[in-house]
Amino acid sequence: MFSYRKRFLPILLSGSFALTASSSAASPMTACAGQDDGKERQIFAMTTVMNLKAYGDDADAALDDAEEKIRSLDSLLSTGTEGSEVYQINENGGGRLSDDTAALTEASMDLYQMTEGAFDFTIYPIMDLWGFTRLFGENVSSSASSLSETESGGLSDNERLISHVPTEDEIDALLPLVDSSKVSYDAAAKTMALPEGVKIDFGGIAKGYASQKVMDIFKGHGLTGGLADLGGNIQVTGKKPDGSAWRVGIEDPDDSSAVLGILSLEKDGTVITSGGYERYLVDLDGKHYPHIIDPATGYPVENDLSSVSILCDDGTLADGLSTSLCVMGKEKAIRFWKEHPGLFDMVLFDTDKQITVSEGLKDSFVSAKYDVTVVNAD
Amino acid sequence: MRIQDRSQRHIPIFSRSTVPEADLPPKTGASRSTFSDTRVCRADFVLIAALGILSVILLVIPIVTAAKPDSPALLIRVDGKEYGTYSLDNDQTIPIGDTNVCEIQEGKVKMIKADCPDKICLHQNAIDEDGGTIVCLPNKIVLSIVNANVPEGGELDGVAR
Repeated sequence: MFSYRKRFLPILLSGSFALTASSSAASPMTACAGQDDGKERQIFAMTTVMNLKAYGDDADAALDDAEEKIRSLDSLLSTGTEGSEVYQINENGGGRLSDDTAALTEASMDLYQMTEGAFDFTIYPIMDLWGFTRLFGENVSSSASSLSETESGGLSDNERLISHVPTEDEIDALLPLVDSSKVSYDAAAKTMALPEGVKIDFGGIAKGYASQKVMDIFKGHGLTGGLADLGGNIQVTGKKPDGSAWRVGIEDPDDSSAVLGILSLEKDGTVITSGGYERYLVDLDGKHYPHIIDPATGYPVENDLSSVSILCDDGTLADGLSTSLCVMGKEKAIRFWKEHPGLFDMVLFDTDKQITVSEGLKDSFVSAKYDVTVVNAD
Repeated sequence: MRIQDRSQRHIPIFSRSTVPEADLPPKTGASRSTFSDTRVCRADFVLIAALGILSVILLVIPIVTAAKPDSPALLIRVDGKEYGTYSLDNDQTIPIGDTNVCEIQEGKVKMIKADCPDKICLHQNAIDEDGGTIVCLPNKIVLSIVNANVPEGGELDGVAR
C-alpha cells in the first residue's frame, strides 16, 4: 500500500533541513531580529561639517527633513550671504522676521539678560573689525584667497593670520554699537529695528538652535533614537538600539585627538563646548587672538578658562551659555551656575589643567587624564 | 492470516524484510521497481545524513570565506556621499575628484594635494587605525577611519569640540 508518510517524510525532513541550513548561511551572519545600525547623513553647512545619525523605521525621511531644515536655517542666518534674512536686516537697519529669526532674537535677548551682557548678539561689528567674520566666515574659499600660500602654509585648521590688530581707538569707536538693549524688537509683530551701525549675528547660537530643531524633527518622525553632531555641538534624543547611554567625549584643548573625559548621557540632552582654542587669529609673533570676544571690552577673552562644556536640555541655551561662561571666567561661571539651579550642568577646564564639574555630572563624567573637582549647589 | 495493510505494521528498519515473500505485493511491471517499496530503509538515512552534512558545509563556507569585515579602513566622503573605502594595509595614492589627492603610507593617511585656497587640510595631522578625520571644507571632503581601534575608555558616540 502506498504510504505518503513513509515515502515522503524522510525526503521532506532532510530537504527542509537543507533549505533552512543553506538559507541561514546565505543571509548575513550578524543580522538578527531588532538589530538596527541606523542611518547616517553628512552635511556641509554653517561653515562646518555635520554628521547626523538616526535610528528607527522612519530614519531616512527624518534625515531628509533634518537636512532641509539645516540648509534653510543656514541660508536664513548667514551674515555673509546677500540674500539672507540677517544680511538684509543688517543692511536695512531692521525688518520683518521669519519665525526662526524671531525665535533666535528672543533667545538672544533672554541670554543677554541672563548673562548680564556676556552674551551679546550685536557683537558683529567688533568681530568684523578683528577679521573673524572674513577669515572664518561663510565664504571660506573666497575670504581666504587674500592670503598667499606661504602665509597660510603653516596654519592649522583653527588658526588664521590676523591682517590688522585693531587699535584701542578703533575698538572704542565701535564698542557703543555692541549693546543688545539698543535692538528694538516687537514680539507680536515680529519686527526689529536697529539703530545706525548696530548689526546682529546669530553665529553664537545658530548651531545649537539647529540641533534642537533636528531633535524635534527626529521626535516628530517617531525615531527610537538619534544624534546630531553639528560642527562639534552634540545633541541626542532617545536611545541607541542596545539601550545603552550615549557616550560623548569632550575634546582636550591641548590635543585634538584626545578627550578631557567622557560624559554618559542617559536621556535627551545636548553637550556644547566652547573655548579659545577652537578658532583664533595669530599674528606674526605667534600671539593668539581667540574668536570669543568680551562684549564689554571689545577684546578677545583671556582668562583662566581653556574650555567650557554645557550640558542641558535645550540646544540654543547650551550654545549661548558655552560662550558666555568662557567670557565670565571660572569664578563667575561657578557663581552663575549656582544662581541658576537645575538649568544646566557644566565641565570647566582651566588653564591649570584642572577640571571642575557641577554636581549633576559627578556620576556621569569620568576623566582618565585629569583631576576632577565637583562643585555643589549652595 | 494475510496482512492486508502494510502501513499498519511496524517494520524494523535495519532488518531485512521479515514479511514472508508470499505476502509481498505481486511484482508487476511498475511495481517491480523499488519506488513502490514504501518502507523506511537504510538508504533514506544515508540521504538524510548526506543532506545534513551538505547543510553544515553550506553554513560554514560563508563564515570561513568572509573578508575581514572589521579591520580599520579609510572612508572618503565627498559632499556627504561615499566616494570609496580603502584598506590601510596597502600603501596607495588616491586622487579625489580633480581637486584633492590623499595618500596612505604605512597605515597613515594624509592629504597631499588640494586646490583649495587655504590648504588647511594639508597641515592636519595624519590619521591612522586609531581614528580621526581630515576635512577639506571648501571641497567638502572628509577622510575618516571606519572600524577604528576602540579607544581607551571605550567607544564614543561623539566628541564635543
